[in-house]
Amino acid sequence: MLENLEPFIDRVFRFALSLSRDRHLAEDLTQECFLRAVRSADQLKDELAIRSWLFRITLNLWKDYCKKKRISFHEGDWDVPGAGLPPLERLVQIETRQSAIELMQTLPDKQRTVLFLSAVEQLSNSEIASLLNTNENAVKSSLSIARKRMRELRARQKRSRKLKNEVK
Amino acid sequence: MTKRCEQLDAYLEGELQREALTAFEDHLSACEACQHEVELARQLEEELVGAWQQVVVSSELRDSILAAAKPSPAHATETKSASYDRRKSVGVVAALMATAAALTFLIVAPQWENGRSSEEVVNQSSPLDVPVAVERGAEQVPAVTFQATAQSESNIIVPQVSNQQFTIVQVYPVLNTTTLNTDPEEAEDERVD
Repeated sequence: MLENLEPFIDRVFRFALSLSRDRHLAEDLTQECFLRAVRSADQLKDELAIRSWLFRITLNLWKDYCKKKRISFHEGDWDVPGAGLPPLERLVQIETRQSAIELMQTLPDKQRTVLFLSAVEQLSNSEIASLLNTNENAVKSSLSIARKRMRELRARQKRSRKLKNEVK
Repeated sequence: MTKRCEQLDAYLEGELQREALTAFEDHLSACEACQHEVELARQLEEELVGAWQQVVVSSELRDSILAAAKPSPAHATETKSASYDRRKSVGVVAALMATAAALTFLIVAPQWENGRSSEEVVNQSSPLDVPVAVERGAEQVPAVTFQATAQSESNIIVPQVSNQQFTIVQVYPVLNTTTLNTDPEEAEDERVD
């Protein structure tokens, strides 16, 4: 079952990076994820579900880490649209040079996670809901807010860039 | 911003269907603000996917993961089993050492000379069937047993052997605590309880 793991290594690493926002942590999570996957390979019944299975292991590892380090993750109620969404002013200062990834990494946990799984991994809303133990409406709502916020951040970036050019 | 503009998010999320979708598309063709937002959303999504595709693990980590994922099953089992057995045998030896009334040490003297250390040999006929300790060519070096009479600081019984040429190759308990020392008083002192 785990003979063709290689294509999933980068995907798990990206997911770990989108969760942790730290390269070293993401590397540790990725390594541990595959160690666990190999150890419990017999639990994998459907090879087609290998990505979701690996993502679930990664997410659980990350949650364990957060619990251990007392880092809050996914705080708030998934079912309340916009829950945990900080006002734009509270987000880190947006630099004009920030890439789409960096913009995304400024989003709150829930929005960042669903956006990654939807846009980058192309998971369906129901797959995301299953992975995150929530319902499709909550995923849909978080996705909508995440995408809207990304557009706002990019628009702000453009305005900031324009302003800088005018000052020059 | 019109009422139709409010449906932009639903449109971008693919939630509009049939009449609602057609109606919004009609609006979109005429609304520059919405066109701008749709274009921005498309650009961002494309940029996001493209940027994440460039994110890859280091080759060291990749190699390490792949190596761990494809272990030699025989080797892995053997290593695990060996380390487990090592722990187990240490435990057994410790338990035996802690509980045995006396220990007999099987000692091989590579350059053994008959009679040279005869005073240290207190028991040449062990209660157990002493095996031949080592085979060196055609010459067989006889196993020699010592009755342990001293206890180290770490509470482990050790033989009193001063000759550095001795090599302890096997330790096993002897339940018979009878000393072979000829002096009854000394024997009483040396008995290890």
